[in-house]
Amino acid sequence: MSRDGHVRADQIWKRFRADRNRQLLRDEVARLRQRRKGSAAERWRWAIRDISFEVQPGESLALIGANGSGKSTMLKMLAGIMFPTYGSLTANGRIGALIEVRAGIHPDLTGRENVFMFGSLLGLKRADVRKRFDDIVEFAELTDAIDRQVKYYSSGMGMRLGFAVAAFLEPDIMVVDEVLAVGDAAFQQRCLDRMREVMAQGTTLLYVSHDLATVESMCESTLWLDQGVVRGQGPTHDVVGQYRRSVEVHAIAQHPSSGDIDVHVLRSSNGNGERIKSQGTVELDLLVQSALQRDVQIVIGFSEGSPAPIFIAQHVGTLAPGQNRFFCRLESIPLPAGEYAVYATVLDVNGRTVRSWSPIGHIEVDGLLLPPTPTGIVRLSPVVVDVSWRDGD
Amino acid sequence: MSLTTFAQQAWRSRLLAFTLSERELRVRYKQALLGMAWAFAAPLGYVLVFTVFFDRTANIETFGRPYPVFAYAAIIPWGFFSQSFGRGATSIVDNLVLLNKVACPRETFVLSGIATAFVDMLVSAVAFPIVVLAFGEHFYATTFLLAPVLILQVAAAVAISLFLSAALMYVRDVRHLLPLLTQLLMFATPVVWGQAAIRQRVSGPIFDLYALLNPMATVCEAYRSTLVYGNAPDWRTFGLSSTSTAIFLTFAYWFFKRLEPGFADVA
Repeated sequence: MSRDGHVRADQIWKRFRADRNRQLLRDEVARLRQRRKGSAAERWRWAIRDISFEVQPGESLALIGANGSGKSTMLKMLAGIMFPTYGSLTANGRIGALIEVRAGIHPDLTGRENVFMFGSLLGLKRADVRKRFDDIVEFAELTDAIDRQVKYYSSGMGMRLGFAVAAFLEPDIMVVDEVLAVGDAAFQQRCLDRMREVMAQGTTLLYVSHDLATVESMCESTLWLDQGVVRGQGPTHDVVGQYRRSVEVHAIAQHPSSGDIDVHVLRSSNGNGERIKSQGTVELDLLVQSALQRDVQIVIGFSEGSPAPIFIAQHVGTLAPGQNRFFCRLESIPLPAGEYAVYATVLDVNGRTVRSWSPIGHIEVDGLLLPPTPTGIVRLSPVVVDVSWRDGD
Repeated sequence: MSLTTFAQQAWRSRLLAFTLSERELRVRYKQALLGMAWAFAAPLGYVLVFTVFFDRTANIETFGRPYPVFAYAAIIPWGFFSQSFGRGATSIVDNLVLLNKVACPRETFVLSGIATAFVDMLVSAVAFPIVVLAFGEHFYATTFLLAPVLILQVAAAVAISLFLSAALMYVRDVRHLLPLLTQLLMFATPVVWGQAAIRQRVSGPIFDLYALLNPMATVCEAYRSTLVYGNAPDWRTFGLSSTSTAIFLTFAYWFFKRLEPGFADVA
């Protein structure tokens, strides 16, 4: 038997009935009748297809992917709530699962009772829970509300309680599903700190989030799921990079190009026809096609792939019917080496959107690399600046 | 799943079942007096209604005992059965929220519902001596012979609850039939009427079949004969009912465990 905290998924498949929402007698009867006639095979939807991974004790794995890609299903199987259709899944040790616990575990119980119930689910004795009880209440900042029913908690309070319980009852495997999104920034940081501490004690972390920055800060390796299939698996930096690029490609594909206005990047360079360097110059040659004459504001932004830009630049001008060219020159861009998406939107004089915010191309930057951030510290956007240190005497 | 992990899970689930039913009961009995009153209200109400309607109109043979005492003795186990039937059968469907959040053996929910109903029964039984004294009846030492009957009655409740709760996950609309089913079962069980009077007219094999099919009939009659008449339970029907209940319980548990992995999929 392997050590506590070891997780291994071996060729996991999971399917659901395609018509999941109805569980009524008449549907069952209709299904039986169909099966007897031999018509229409039962319709299934595969939520997870052939997924394998392994996490060693004390390591951390993030699951990323768009909505409906199977992340939560995977976590539920890891937590023992759902069971795979095919394949084998082993998770050794106590599992502290934080799945949809925003409203606490049981809404009709008080905070205190929730803590003890969660403890008993983890296999802890009441005395063990009592020992950690004060820490939990203090961490969750619920001193006044601990004897209130959890259904009367705010969503933030429920999340704090859920997190505190899962993080302080010392599970061997901690499963966290997108819970931090509700907390304020200060509490999020305390959660990340606590997760780092727990990992240092040898707890395995399985983390689902759409917040790629926290994924990068918490997890060594990442599994990228797309409609139940593994699209990428490996070190977080690489997989998250691939994922960001795919988000950009997806956004281009989604954007309707048939509007009466269109923007493209024709060329990008450092102004001398050479490759772009960190802290160097960028010159973009923009082509804007318009059906009519109008005054507009053009906004462009640079991002790692997601629609949230690292910085933006804007220009007010007049468009003539047909093709218009704009040259945009940016001096000493603070970007480290990597690929960046260029997003653009066009607004009219009243601030109404003429062309919505979506990618128009991308640039590649050579040069400086970012210094690594310690685990648990989330860097908002990748920016390099010149730094010099001097030892005092 | 190995035997040790199953034992571990069962241990955890015991604590969870305890917490769930403790909570349920604490809310109900928070104000001790009022809480007790609620537990008495239902059986006393039944006795009143039965006395007014059935005793007068149907002229039920009670072999010299006052009808309220006669009826109350059977209402105690029947109240438990119908409550655990109602709670147990819907316990999985009612706990979908928890089902999606925590891993535990799902029979925990069923068992905690039955545990709650059992405590309610004990409380409602407290009113029985009062009714007995009020009608100038006696207490009997045969009361202690109910111990094996208690086991049969809990086993029957667990079996039917396990079976229905699992089935209900897949055919939810059947839930609306449960109250009707409970009513029908009550009339098919000697609660308002006594078995002894009919027994004189009907042949043995039919009664054996009845005991096999309806263990609660055996339970209700056993309560009546020990508490009201001072006789031992009919051990023959008890044996038959226990056999069929054991078989059904085994089947229900197998059925439940077979469907259990899919509960979260349809939650």
